[in-house]
Amino acid sequence: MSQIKKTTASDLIMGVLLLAFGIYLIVESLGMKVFNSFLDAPGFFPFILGIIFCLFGIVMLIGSIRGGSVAATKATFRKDSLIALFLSPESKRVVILSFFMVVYIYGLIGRIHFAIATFIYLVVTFWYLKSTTWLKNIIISVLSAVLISAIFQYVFKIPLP
Amino acid sequence: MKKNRILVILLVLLVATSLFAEGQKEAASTKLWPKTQPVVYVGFGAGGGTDTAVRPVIAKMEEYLGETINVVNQEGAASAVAANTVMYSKKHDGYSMFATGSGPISGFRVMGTSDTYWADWASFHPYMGAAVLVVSPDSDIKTYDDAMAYLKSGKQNMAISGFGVGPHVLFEAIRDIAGVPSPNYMTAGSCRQAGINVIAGDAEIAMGTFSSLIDFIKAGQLRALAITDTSDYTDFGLNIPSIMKVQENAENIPLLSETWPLMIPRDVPQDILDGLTEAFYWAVEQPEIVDYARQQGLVLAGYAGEDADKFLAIQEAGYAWTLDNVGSTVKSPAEFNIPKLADFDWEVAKQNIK
Amino acid sequence: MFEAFAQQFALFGSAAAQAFGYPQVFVTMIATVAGIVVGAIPGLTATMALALLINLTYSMQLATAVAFLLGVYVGAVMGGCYSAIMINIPGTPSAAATALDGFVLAKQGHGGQAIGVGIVASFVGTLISILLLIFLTPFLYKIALKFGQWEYFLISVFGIMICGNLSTQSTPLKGWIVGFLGFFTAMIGLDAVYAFPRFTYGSYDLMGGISLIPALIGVFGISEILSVLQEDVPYSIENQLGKVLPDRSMVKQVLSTAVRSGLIGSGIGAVPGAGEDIAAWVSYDVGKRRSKHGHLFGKGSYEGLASAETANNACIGGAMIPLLTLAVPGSPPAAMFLAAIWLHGIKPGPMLALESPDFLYLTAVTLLIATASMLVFGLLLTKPMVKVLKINRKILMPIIVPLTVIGAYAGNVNIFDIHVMFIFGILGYILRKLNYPMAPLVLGIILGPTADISFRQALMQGQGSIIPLLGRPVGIVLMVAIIWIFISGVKNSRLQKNTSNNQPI
Repeated sequence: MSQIKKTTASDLIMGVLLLAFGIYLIVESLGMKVFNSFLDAPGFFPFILGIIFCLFGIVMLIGSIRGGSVAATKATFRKDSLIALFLSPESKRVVILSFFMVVYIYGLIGRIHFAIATFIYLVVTFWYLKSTTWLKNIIISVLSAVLISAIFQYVFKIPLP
Repeated sequence: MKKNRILVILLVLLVATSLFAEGQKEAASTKLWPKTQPVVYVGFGAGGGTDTAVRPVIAKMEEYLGETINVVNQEGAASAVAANTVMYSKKHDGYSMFATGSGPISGFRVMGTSDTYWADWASFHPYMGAAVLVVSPDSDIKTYDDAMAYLKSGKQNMAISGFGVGPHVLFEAIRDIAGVPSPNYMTAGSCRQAGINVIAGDAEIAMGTFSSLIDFIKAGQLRALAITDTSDYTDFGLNIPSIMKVQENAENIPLLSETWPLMIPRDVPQDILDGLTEAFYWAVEQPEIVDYARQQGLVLAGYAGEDADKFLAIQEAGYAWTLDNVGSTVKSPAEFNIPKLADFDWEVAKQNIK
Repeated sequence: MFEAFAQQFALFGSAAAQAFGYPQVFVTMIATVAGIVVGAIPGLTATMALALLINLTYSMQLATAVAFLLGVYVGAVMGGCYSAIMINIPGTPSAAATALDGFVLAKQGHGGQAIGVGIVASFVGTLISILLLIFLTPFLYKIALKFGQWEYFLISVFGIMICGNLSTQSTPLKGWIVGFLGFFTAMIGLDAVYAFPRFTYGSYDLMGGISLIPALIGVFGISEILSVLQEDVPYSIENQLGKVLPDRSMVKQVLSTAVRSGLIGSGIGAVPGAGEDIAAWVSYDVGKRRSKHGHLFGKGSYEGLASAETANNACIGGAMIPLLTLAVPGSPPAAMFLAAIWLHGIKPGPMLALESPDFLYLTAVTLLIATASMLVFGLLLTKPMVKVLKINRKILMPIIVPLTVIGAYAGNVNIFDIHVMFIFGILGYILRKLNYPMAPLVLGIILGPTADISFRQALMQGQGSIIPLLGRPVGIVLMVAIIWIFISGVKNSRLQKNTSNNQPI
């Protein structure tokens, strides 16, 4: 039941987003330079896409409003359900895991050697997930990091990031 | 038990890799690229004209240097995307190179796709290739003159690979001399596809690089009306008239024939430039490379150093002004002080190199 | 007539002798195994492997180079089935169709047997495509020429429509939305006709466009990793391995499906520009309609698995047809193969039959050897692979992250691609939570450029009018198909509304 409620609420939001996105595409594409005729201009296809997205948005909106989405959306945006959504253990875990990835991808790679970056990422992630014991954590992380780097560098001869 | 299995798997892999790596190890100090493998960003798709022109030479250079050179294809905007990657997103440490056609790079600035031009790069040109004007063998168009008459008769469909690349600019130059109105261009994405469009009857006429169409012409699926070379093409029992023979005042056209250079930012460490130059001169003399050229309908160029710079400067003069004449430019060549072909003086152009 | 036949037979013989010669035959086998391993590693794809290997093959003999590349190609396409089935990370959008049923089966503890069926199906598919390649190449070549810009455009639309329709148990509308989002993603960058920057906001990186492989790895890989690890106790694969070799009744059950899908796969593979990704979805669709147990598709059906996986592999042979006759590759890995043989002076096209008359047969026989090795080694490797891929998700999933990073980076050797991968991973995770399927997004990115350029080109060809295009026979067939999918999709969505919340792929 709650699953369906959430879906119709998200359908409503998605409908609005799609409509807005479609309009943005139409405006943007009409502003693109026309070289010969609009039919072969760079903006032509995005323009068509804009129209399609608008149609999709409208269909979704109608469907979700019929499905009682306005009430559902209000329910979703009540304080306690928002808290439930953002503080659920699942959301928390995803945010933290994504954060580790951000640090790994944007912060470490390219600044320090790929193997070291990978080692740090793996140790921290395993530790957070409580995947295994400390000793095994470190051993597995070291081995994986060294192995992956070595295989790609020497066997496949791919330059590492 | 389960976790130990992971450890065992990893350990076995580690031993195997370290043995392998040991066997692969070379003395890093003698390498031209000691840190990692260099990468060539080819500005057009795998299997296309540029790709197939530079890869054999790169492979030969690898052989000479005894090192691996990675080649990746980064398509887009007549290769401006790859040029921007190498010139602006990568360090100028000699580990990133670029490959394109001499035509496209000459159009970057006036077409507004990139700010880089020939003077920013050191270049190595293995091959040069002419373009041909082709029609279907069952077409009513039998000669070059028929073709011009056909194109004068209205806005006709004509297939080319894309705007700003060699065959397009060559044809623009030709129609400028011949007084033909602009056709309705269909950009096919590659010269080969442009030829296929003619075979399939989607376009009546096409202009494409000779090397991309040579086998269709040999097989009689396309008829070649003119080639942008100084002399007629007579290999393989073909007889394609030179553009200079069928069109008056076309002396400048062959100057616009393309090459497909391998390029590297000019300010990379000198030892890498020297190493590349040495390997390049060796590679273009190898029988496989010479043979490949003949087979593909290409001419061996072998330009590097000042020859290469001068060639590209002339090309830029020709391409930029041709594109400008037909209104395909975003900025005028005059803004960049690009001379017209007639006014070209290498001693002046040379000053652009810093 | 007889003479011509005898001559062809002699050519076939000499090609077979080359393919079975030393060291080619061993190279094919080893390359196939290497391909399987590469394909099985999440984040690494056949396209990437072939792209990196082209230059390596330059110094080899022609037959060896062909053996090497085709072995890797066949192996990697099949190897993708391991990671698709066991960890739900498909390496291509076509393998996403495999994962639809395969992963459900793996969770039920039938992973081994699912892979076994997948391999046998792949084998049948490739076999059929090889036969078609040998006998039908001259005829299919003529058909390929019937496809102009307008048809390419319609095929692209058809592709995302059918994929959007099938990849989710929820309403097809969501699949289509995601498919068109894929089209939009493909618009980012410099326009291919005039080099005009679209949606780049002045960034040099964005001018290069969103590359396919990073986006693919992101939406399939990173989002799956997050989805699995968000659970405190992630699912674990049942310990029972089950039999790997499918028994006779199983083979019987899927054989007719496999033959049909093989024909569909080769046929679609032969269309330049369509490629294996559309083939798997079309075949899955036909399978679902023709099967007595169509309603079980997506819930762990061996027939569904076989239809997708067979077509996926059958495309390899199919894609060789336009490649060898017109030099137009049907898929990204086929493009890499084209580049490689070109370097060896083999010029596919009309002169191929005159200049290198035995090359067609060399390709076919080498494919045959690679397929046989794939069957044997694939089945042998299944048990150990399943054991490795069964390890604790909390350890396996984080280790996949650096692999996806390398996989995204290596194609273009560009740090920006890693960022693209991560962003698409997060986007994929959110869309997935909302029951949007991912396969149409990736297919949209693949087909978007074709759709854009072909549409504009087709209109230019008609000099601004759509009327002359409407009379083209192949185009009419495609338009009817698109409308039909649209109507049946709308009908389905009415029926299924709010009844099911199955996880989409």
